[in-house]
Amino acid sequence: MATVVGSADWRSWVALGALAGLAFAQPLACDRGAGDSGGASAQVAALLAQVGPGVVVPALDRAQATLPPLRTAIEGWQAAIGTDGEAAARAAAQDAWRDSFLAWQQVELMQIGPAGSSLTVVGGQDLRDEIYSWPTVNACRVDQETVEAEWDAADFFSANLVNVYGHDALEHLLFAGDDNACPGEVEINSDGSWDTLGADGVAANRAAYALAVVDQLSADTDALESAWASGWSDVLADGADPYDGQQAALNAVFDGLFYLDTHTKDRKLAQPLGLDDCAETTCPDDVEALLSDASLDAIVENLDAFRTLFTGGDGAGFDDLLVDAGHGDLSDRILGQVDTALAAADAIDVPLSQAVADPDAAVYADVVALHDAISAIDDDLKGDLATVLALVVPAEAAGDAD
Amino acid sequence: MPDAAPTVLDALLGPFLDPASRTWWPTLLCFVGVALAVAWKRGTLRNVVPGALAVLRHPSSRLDLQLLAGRQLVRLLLGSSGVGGAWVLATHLVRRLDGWLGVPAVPELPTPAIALLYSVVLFVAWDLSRFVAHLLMHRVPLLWHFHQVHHSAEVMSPLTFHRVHPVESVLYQARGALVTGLVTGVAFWLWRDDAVQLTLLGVPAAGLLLNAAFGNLRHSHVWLRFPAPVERWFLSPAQHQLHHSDAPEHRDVNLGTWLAVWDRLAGTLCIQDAPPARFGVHDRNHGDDLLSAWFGPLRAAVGARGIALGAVLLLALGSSLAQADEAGGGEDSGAEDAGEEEAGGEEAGEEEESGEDAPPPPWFEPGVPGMEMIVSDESGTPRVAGSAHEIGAEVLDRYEYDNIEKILSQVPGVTTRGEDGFGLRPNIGIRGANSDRSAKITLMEDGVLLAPAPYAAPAAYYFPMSARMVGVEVFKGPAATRFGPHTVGGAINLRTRDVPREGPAWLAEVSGGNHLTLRGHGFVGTGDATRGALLEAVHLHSNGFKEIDGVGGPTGFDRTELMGKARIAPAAAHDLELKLGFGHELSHETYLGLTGADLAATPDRRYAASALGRMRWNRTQAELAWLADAGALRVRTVAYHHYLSRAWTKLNGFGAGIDLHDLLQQDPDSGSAAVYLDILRGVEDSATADQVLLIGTNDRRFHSYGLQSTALWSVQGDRVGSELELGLRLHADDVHRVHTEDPHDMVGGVLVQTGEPVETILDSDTRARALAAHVHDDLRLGRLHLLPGLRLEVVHGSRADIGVDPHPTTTRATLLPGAGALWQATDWLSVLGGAHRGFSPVSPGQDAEVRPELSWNYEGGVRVHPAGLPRVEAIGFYNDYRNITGQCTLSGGCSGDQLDQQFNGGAAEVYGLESVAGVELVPPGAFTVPIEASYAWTKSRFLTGFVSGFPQFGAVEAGDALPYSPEHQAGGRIALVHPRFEVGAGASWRSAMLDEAGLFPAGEGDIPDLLLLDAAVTVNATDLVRFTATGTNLANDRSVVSWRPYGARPNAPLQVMVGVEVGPSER
Repeated sequence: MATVVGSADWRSWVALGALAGLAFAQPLACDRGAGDSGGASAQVAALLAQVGPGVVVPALDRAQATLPPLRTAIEGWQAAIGTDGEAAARAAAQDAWRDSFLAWQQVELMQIGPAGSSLTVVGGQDLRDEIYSWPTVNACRVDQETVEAEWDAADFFSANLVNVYGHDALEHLLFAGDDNACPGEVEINSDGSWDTLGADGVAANRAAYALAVVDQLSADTDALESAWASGWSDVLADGADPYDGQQAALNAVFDGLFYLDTHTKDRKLAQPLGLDDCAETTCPDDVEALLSDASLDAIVENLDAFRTLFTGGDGAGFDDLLVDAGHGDLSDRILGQVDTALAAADAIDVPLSQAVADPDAAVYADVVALHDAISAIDDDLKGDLATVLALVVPAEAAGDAD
Repeated sequence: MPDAAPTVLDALLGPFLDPASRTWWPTLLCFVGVALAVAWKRGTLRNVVPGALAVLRHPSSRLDLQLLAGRQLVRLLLGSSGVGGAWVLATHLVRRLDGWLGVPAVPELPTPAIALLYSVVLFVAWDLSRFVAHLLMHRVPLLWHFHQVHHSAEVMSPLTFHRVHPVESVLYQARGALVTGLVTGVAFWLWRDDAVQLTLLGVPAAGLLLNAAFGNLRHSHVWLRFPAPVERWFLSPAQHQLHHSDAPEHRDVNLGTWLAVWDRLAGTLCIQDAPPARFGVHDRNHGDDLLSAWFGPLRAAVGARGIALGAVLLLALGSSLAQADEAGGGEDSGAEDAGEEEAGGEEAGEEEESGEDAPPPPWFEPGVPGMEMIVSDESGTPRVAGSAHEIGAEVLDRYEYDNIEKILSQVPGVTTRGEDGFGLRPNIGIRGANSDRSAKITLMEDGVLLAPAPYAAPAAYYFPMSARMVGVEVFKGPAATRFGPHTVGGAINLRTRDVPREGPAWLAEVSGGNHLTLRGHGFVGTGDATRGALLEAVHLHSNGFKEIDGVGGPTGFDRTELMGKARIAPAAAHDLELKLGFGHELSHETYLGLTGADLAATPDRRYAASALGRMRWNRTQAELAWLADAGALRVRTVAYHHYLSRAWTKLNGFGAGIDLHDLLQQDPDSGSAAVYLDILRGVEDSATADQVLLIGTNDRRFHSYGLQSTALWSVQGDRVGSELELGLRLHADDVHRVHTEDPHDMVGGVLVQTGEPVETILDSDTRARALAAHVHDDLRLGRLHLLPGLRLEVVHGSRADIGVDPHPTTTRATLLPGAGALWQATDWLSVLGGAHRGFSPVSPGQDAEVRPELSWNYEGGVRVHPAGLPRVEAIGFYNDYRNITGQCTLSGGCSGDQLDQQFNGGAAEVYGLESVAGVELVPPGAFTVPIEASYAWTKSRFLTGFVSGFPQFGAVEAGDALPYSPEHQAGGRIALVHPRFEVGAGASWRSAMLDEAGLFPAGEGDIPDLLLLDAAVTVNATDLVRFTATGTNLANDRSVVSWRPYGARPNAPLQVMVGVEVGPSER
């Protein structure tokens, strides 16, 4: 029968009080967010804590580091205009831009939070568009601004739309030929102002314009990095507002992975291949970075960035979550598919616009193989990964554009 | 930490606030109610309070509370995994089964059947596993050390449910995760996303219902037995109380939770008449305090040194303790005696008919006694069992409304979503039924379905001109079951002018107003008792009130409708009528609205990208009606054929597929989105294929034809009578759609074809064949009217899209019962009530998982009309949706590839109160002053959370309100009527609406409240000539009335019309 009776009751109340005190002092990371449908494990918390400082910010650092050399190279071109060294100086500027652009292609995939579109991404502030807005580009507008030469105005970048600055505009300024991209009825042609500038004048204006764009790129990259460093990393890690808990934040990172589906696969490959949204047999002019032939390298960077985001770089990532959930084989499969896609990209030895031009060419099949390899990754994202981690596939990726 | 305090509170209160918990406060209230009822029946009511207090003050109850608090705090400290154990197991199982056996080809089952099967299996599996675990707890001595904590309760209350040792909790949660994981894994492997539990309030329905009914009685002193035969199958609360008896012979009996079969099989079932003398155990290893209850069993089980190990074990397994209840989808962790988490099971849900709707033909024959849809007494009070409202010719004539939305704004419970400002294609909803293109309500003209293809494509792209209507009737309650196919919200019948029976009648009227709005209307007819004819025409023109940016363009419209009727009565008992109609519209309307800021600055603006918007349609109508009158039996039969061809050209979107609704609603000023916005405005040129503007033309041809017959058999005695109505309709309709997109560039503010070929994006044939039958009786028993009714809808549908695999052909049959009662308590007071099955069919060609909209609708209220005092009607309603649906139309903001798709919205409820009042004052002189007022309060909420492709649903959380359903609506009208003139004024107000499912209060992206004032003056210059003046939106209040299809749409501005009517007849 009973061994102890109520005399020790006060100790139980003290114990309960101590437990309550411990709960009050519980670190926020252990909170279970209010709309957190699945509950947030330590692994999820670790993944979320890694995304900002361990993945996005380092990628931004690398992108930022390419801008000073780019500026120097453009200044070299500017100085060489009209001299014998102009072509070499311009080529050096183009190479520097390519380095910078490819460094950006890592961040490009990570359109989470402030980098993302204000229309479709939770917490999106369109900061990515400020740095690179492709496919929202307008070469004619860049040429118009080249003639108007108002880039030094204090409000130039705030008053203009994103299609006249950023990496996309920079590519046009550094790679475009002597002619402009506007139809004849546009003022720079109808009033002769383009012709009046002449080849050297155009080059000089383009170089000066490019320098202003690089400075703005630096400021915009800083702004994005600052947004992450000064708060968004913590917001994401905590699943705090505007995220509805850590599971929602996890889903936002998961959404970021779908850049590989909606942009890399569909927009950068399927469309030029003529598999989707192409009125002709193929659409080689729709490739990204057409003038610089950097499109294939950009895809490689996207794949590499996908792997970094998926694995969390040196820290916790989706691979760890899957292992923890007993689905390590799925993680291995996805990472293996990334390697397959990278190998497929490596097998293409001509610029992408050439590779997709002829559907009967062997290299066209190589591009299709690259597309299919990425498609296999996407299938696992939408299928097993979403199922296992109880994640919701973003609407724009729910269907298959193939 | 700042956020910790509410979390601790949440944890402590969680067992009382979580619907999945047995001790959720409403289930506790149910327990209290049953306990009081039992005490009242047994005459022990006065003992209840002292007894309850004694129980709650007992040290045993204090330990219950301590164990509950301790468990919750430990859970909070240990947290839980983001991936529940059951979920891990289930997903692993699915992937392994997929790998070993592939994705199975299982027979196609209706989604509800799958949910039912899955829920039942899960429920049984949970119940069995709990029995086994409980048996082990009693039979294995080591486990008994822990389980006796639950059994040591000497008094029992619902809190005893939570009196469980942590070790036992962990074991039970592991059991729950295992069972749920296995069952869910197999179910998900077989049926994928269709494998969902039947839920109520987002938790397993069976668990919730059983908890509410009996769960808390199990741990109580309320001795409640089931009938003996039932107790052999289902354990009663009394049987569980026996299980808690301290008598040795009771310790190992009745180990089950809900089902008794396991105990029967194991030989442990015990049924006894008398309650146990005492609760408790004799070999108790702990005291009545928390620490003793935690560590006493450990000491007894593993000795003093094992306590440390036990503590470690608890911590290690704690997280699963916290999470397994989530994984099980069931109850909290607290295993009861052997742990009674709630079941993951489900109660057998209501079997869903594979039904579509079929329209039952209401018959309407103005001027033929007994054939009206709404029977009113001499004071105008409706005498029908159910909500029914009629707007008569007087009001229609007084205000000269051309916009049906204005007319219906006075009917409580009817909501409209504005679009073009003229009501050309109104969006009408009733009691929460979605208002998109009025597709969820039954629309009729003279009792014949008027939508272009009511079954195959119910969106009402055609709506008759209000100017030629002499009455509008709205049915919302059980009466709606007489008029299908849509019974979930209600039915609207528009009455046209009857053929004159008393000689010539004619009228000619012209009026004009601002925005060069011109209206011509006239009719001429003659007839007598045996024959007659009528011709009526109406034309309406407006230049429109909007202006297109840049180069401009037309924004107005022209509409014309002609109607001819010829009637012959070859014999007294027979009446034949031929009705022919023609309609035409050319309107320069668009789907494209504005950003909120642009609308606020210039509400009448239209963006340059909308410049090509144009709708053109033509409609023909032929109906032949035969009325056979044999005294007590009258039969009206109508053959009808309607044809509509329409083509609407408008901006569909960008090549990049940007969501125009979101773009305009969010009004970005940076990023790529700002570029797209400026292209719409025409201030930025299209520069890439992504920025091409796709100008779509949706060309459609509709046929709707059929034969409907309604018989009314009336037998009336002094105190008893019957009016039996039988209806049958054979109906067919079809729609052929050809949708194209013509790419345009925005160049210098002008839309210019890109030169790329026009692409056909849809070429589709959708057909429906329907049989509808209904029986309805008005059974009079003295002052009581009983009105039972039943509808049958059988719909056969098919859809074929060029270039797409054929959609499955479907045949669905649905029975829709309904019943109402009207008690005419006195001459001035009647009480009514009723219930009916609400239904809205699935259009042909939908995915298999799309289910019809189904609900049970209830209403009850009173009508009061004391002599000389205002008449008042107040009716409360409750619509319990089992599945509310959204049907995609382009106008509703859906994308082209979503067109006509239906989306399940799951369970929802809509309830409210609708009231009308009216009086006609007769001041001195020749004046009368009719006054009318109405008010409706409506609440709606989804009961489950989900993510829907239907844009107006979006990401829904349980508790969210329905979109475009205002909480408050009020209207009023007053007139001063004199033989020589009339002056009338009206006001209507509705509260804010949500653009997408969510919570009130409405925000910037929603629709603000709106107050509109109208006035009308008529001067009768002579017996033949009348002058009229009307003003609508007198205060010229401008506001967003919709964000659909794409962007903010304004209401119409102040409109003043003056005119003259000539003729002996009024409208």
